[in-house]
Amino acid sequence: MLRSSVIYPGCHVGLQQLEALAAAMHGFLGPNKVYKFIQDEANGDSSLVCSSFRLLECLDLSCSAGQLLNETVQAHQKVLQSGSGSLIFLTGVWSRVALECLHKGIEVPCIIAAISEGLEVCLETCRQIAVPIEETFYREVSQRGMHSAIGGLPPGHCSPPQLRTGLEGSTQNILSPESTSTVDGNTSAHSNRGKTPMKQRVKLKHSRYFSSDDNKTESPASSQHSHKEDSKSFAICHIANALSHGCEDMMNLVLKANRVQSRNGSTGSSFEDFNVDKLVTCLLPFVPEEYSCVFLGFVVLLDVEQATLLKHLKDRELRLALVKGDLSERYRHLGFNTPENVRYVANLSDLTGFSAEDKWMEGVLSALLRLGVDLLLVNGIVTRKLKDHLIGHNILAIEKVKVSVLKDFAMTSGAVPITYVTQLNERCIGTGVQVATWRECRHIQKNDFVAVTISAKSSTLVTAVITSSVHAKLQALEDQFWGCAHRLGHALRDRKVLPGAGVTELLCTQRLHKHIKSEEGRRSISSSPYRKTVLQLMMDGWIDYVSMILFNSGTYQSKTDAWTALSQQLRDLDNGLPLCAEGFWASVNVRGVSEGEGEREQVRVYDNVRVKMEVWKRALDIVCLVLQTDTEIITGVTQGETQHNGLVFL
Amino acid sequence: MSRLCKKKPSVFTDDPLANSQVCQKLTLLGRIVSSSYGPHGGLKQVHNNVGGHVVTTSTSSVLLKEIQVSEPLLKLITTAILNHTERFSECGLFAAILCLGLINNAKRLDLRTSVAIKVYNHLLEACNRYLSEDKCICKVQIEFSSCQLLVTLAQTVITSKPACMLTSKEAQYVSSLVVQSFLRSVPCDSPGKVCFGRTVILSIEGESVEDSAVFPGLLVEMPEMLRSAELERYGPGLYKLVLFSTSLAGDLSEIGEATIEIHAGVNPEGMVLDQLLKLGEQTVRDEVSVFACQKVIHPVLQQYLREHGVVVIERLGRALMEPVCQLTGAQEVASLYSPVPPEAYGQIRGLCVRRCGSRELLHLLPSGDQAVSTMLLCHRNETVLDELKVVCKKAEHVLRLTLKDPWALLGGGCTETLLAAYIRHTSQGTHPDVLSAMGISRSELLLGVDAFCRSLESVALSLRQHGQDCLIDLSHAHNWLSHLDTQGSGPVSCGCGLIEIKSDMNWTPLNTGYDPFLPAPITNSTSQPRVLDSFSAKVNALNVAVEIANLILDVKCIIRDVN
Repeated sequence: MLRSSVIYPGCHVGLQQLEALAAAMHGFLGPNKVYKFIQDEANGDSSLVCSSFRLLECLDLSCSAGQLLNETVQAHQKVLQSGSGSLIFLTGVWSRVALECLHKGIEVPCIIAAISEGLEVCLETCRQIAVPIEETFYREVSQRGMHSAIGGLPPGHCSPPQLRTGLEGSTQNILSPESTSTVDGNTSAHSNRGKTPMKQRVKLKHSRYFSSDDNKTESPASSQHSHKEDSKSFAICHIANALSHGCEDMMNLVLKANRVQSRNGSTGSSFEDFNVDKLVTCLLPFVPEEYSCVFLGFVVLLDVEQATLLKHLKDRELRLALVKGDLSERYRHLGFNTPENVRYVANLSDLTGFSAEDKWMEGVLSALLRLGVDLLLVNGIVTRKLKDHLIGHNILAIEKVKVSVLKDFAMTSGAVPITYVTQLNERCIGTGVQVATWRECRHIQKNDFVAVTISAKSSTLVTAVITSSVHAKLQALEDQFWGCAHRLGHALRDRKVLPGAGVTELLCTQRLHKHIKSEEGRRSISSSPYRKTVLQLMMDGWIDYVSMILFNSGTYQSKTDAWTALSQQLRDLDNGLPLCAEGFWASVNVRGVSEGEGEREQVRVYDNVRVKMEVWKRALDIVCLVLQTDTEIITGVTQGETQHNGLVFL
Repeated sequence: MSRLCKKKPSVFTDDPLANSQVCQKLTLLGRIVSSSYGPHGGLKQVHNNVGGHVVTTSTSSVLLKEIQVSEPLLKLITTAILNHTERFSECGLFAAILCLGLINNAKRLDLRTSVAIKVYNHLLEACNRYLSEDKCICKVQIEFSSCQLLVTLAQTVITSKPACMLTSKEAQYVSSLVVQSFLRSVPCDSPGKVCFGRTVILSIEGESVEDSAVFPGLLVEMPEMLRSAELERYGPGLYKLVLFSTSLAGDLSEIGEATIEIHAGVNPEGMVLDQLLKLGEQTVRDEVSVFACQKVIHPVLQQYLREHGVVVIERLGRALMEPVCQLTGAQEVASLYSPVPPEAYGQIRGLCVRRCGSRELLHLLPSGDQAVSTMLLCHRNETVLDELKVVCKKAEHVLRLTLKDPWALLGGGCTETLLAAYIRHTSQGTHPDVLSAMGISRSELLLGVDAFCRSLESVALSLRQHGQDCLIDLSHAHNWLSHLDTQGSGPVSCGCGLIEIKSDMNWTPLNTGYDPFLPAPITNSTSQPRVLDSFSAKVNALNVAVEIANLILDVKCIIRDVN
């Protein structure tokens, strides 16, 4: 449900607009995302969205602040493809901070100076507390291993079989402190784990991360791996798990894709091999979600007619041609202007009964047959007539193939993408491509189709087939898949992660608090009476963010409860308790255990470093930009338009 | 059947400045420009009422171009200011504020328009005279032996635009880049034809400002089909380049609107393609390494060239054509129907790939010491990047203007207050002959002087933020701003940063008036000004403002055709 907001005239309108927009997307923060229906009253269209990014895309934004927000989110999504939810939320939070400051009579430059200073403190905190993935996850893996078996030995002493157990246990992983000597050694979670190792072993059979089926296929392969590679692939599972952010199923798919990639990659280690650019998605409607899976190669759906070609094409190496444009007589490359004023004059005697299209088609077919092409991947479309002819000549043409896929096939099969078939020569043909049937899908009412995989030798292109019996959900699932893939990709590229689930934000709150105190000590208070106010409001903003996450994830019954608990804890920590992430981990996670909230809450959540820092900077940028704006000028308004009452005309 | 529409009669407005609606619009424009002025100016969001891109800016050249005004008088002002910024880049807002101030003050003090115009012209001459004198204390000589003043000049332009959203460190970095690119564009003393260099600005969204850089030579988009491995053979050495300005798409676009008849069986496209391939063959024969075109190149020709190891760059765009010519010495080839003359080929020293974030760019290295460079600007979002691009272009232009007039004016409002104080002082002793020549009384002159000086001071006043006080010191007549954070305590340094606070200084609020005095030059000061404005731009802006104000004061009626 959208919350309504009142925009008070007199206050900064732009900031209020930002706040209102962000408020509409509160539900998307945190791991448990709720679907929203968007309905267009005018034409009755509706769509199902599950992320702030898609919601914003669907909204008709008439206000300039909203438009700015949309531009920022689009740009952010294009580059990092993760974190737009927090970007919007934080924009809302900081807009409110700015509004409150304005309300208190603080001048704009003072607000900007103080809030930028506060952000710098927070960014510095991020840089300090970011943990290297190798260290964290290897150690956790090793620890987990030794815990279930020996318990107490330093990491590195465990043998592969124990590690194996560790991996399985890792899905159940809980609040194992990074070193056993930390203060929270006596938390309930710790004792819980110490007492009931057996129970966990029992539970893990039902874990959905590693179904028994998966284990069977993986085990023989992994037993051949060296110890190090083992721990690497364990660690990547672990990282993925920590970054799944409530989309375990999709993250699982990403992991599988990674495993397929690393198995077929050249170096064979999963850390370096995860390449998001080499992932493709294929959406398969009307199939239950459990059937989502990954395949090496490129998966496409063929209609029945094309599927008849498969018996000719399978089990042999195919010759491939890549076409960048459409396969049609009328198609011309981009930038070609078709002259309008050309008339074709014909003598009667010249008429042979063949149209230009027939001639063209004949040319295409003869070129393809001469070079023995079996398979065409076309970026654009193929005309119906040509398609039929191609089927007649046992040539499979696949339309609407993404450019990235064409590029991969060009790299791996040696084919050179062409624009016109007349360009085809021996050098443009790719070789060593194989087609295999994956499954046939028959529906009573819908068109039947056959899914096939097309793969080139040495290609690491992996297709994730995302299935859902609800057609409208496919888009959201695909978005989730890409979100997961990019989060994992960023983590492996950054080689560092930040504690998630609000822990980083809580630490920032604390650092801000410390910062205010130290500043107070150093300078006379009169030097900047406003700074403290702004920074305190900023702290409240962080608590707002974290309590929203905790509320949305079901840890607390209401946002107020979460808020109260958090501020209590901050006070406690202020009274002498050490400043570390561990304390917060406890607060964020212990509740989950005590309320018996499944396994999910027990997994330590991590976030991407670069994404988080970029999100913060971008959110502050947009707030500062809107805050510094004092005039909105609307062009193209005709005088007397009723909807723009109260405007002054220039 | 055509219908005849009766023409509406023209609308006549008598004495437009007395019309309340016109006045309201003038005031509104005045509010917009004066609130945008300076490093703490408010930003303006301009967007269309149906949505679309939002422009956020406080730069006059962008702002005034975006907004449409209905009032002819306003149109006169905005056009004049846009013309000024076109030529001088800077001080557009200064001109606008001053111009509107002059009109407003003349009306407020109830000056007869003829008197106001005469006095304004007289004072403008006095200002121009004073500013060109050597003893003028508002200006600083630019010395090219050190970069410091140049950096200050660039930094003033950059920091005066808050929509760039730069921290002070970033602003300093960008200023140094601007100075660097300016210095690169000044040709070394090479024999033969000396020609001023140029800087091409390339912007990349989503990266941090620290990734911005200046490169000698040109950066262009990486051709889609080019792999970086293919560039390895383009190490240092001389490579031939050919540059086409005509479209090589293989279409018949050159015939334009004309109608042509073609016999069936004749394939015009095929014939054009044959012609293109002939060109390709020639360039391969002439051992050309880079084949560049402003527009699209036919894929078949591209394939042919690539197979012969030629690097193909298409869709360069109009803006890059001249820089490429200057960099390589190539001549644009405008036709595909004749062979490329040998003198049209250009040269580069090599090709390499530059990576900036996720983007790959192709770097064309200059073969000699051609003063062509590329400034790569990065910022986090599109809105601020747009502004940064405009501002950097301005800053470089301002630096270029110093080559003609090696002077800079004190910034931070100090020039305005100084000039006002000087005018107030010198007008006291105006000779009666001058008065009689103008045909005005002494009291009228003093009223006019007050209007003029207050208008100048209103520019300095626009620099203050809400809750700040503008002060003038009574010895050097510099502009001082009180601190925002600390209420009550006085200012620390003046707007331009040349004078430090001393115990024997007296201040008075700028808008209250003071007894005329001659501003004293600063002696034995070691400090350098922190804020500097372009001399040429400001002097021209002053002239434009007074001229337009006089013109508008002189308008007696407006006749508008409303058909």
